[in-house]
Amino acid sequence: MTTTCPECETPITIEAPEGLRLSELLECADCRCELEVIALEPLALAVAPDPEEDWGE
Amino acid sequence: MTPTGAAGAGIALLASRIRGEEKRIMAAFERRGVPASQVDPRRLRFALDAGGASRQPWSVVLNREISASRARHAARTLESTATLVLNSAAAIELCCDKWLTSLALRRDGVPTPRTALALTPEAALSELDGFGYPAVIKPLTASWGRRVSLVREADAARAVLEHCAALPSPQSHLIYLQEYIDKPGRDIRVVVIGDRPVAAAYRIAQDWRCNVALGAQSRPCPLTPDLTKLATAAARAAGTDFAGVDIIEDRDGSMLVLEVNHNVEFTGIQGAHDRIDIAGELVEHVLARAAAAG
Repeated sequence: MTTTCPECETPITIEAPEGLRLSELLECADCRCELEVIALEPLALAVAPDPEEDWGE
Repeated sequence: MTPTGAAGAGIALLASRIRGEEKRIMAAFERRGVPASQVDPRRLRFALDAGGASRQPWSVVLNREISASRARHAARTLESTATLVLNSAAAIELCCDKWLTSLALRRDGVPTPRTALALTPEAALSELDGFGYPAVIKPLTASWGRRVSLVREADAARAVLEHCAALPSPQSHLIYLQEYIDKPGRDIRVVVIGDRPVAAAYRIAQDWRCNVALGAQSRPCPLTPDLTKLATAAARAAGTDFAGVDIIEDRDGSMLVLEVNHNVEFTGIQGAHDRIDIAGELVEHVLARAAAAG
């Protein structure tokens, strides 16, 4: 399955789309942008929001 | 009280960011044939019913939300409706605040580096006169080692504290001070599930901070009786069901607890242990707690 990075439009190939989950984080190999899976069918990615606050990890 | 934005029943995994850890946890539920809903807290809202009646779609919630505010408020709200939430709201609140954690560790006699709290940056500078250098200045709540500063003399401390004073949040003006421990280029992360440490790893770093997020490498660490006892005591003091306990070794070999993390990231430590299934251990604990709660 192939889609594009919403930040830099580089094609992104998902090797195992059956294992994807909503809200899963991916990284664009080209621009290194952190992406979030916002829909599975059809697959849609968005730039992941930054963590809004520290949580102590 | 009825939450909106939820689907499914039974067990829920509460998380807005699905990292490797959350994927492993969901897979562990699936391998056991246990249905678990993935719930995004960014879509959750709660309404108080006029008659006070409450209805919950889940009996157990595994709280992996990374936003401390969302994690805490979701836990408090769900607990008010007799939902079992792991970690509990109390544990999250304690672990999110380094000073509250230090108070709990001290109460239970768990060894830590020498620690102080100053309620203003100015007071922190005064405290450092007696505290001595080098010292570590930390925000009360922080992730991945961010804004943790090693100061070797008063001029550096003054500069760091002036930056703290300029930050807009009043909480940023509360200054947590800790003795700098001359450690052997590593610290130890222990994952404790229930009352039992399940895995430990050295985090080896070039930086004086040993966070994996800052590039530290995880290597297997034996769970010695002393390490087991110390990590168990720290997790018990914090009241966690699952925790990452960070431990530092002094040059004389004594071990001190730095902090207890309620939302433990375990990808690094899992990579150092191929015979331990941390997500599986966590899921087994959740199922045992659920069974005990009836």
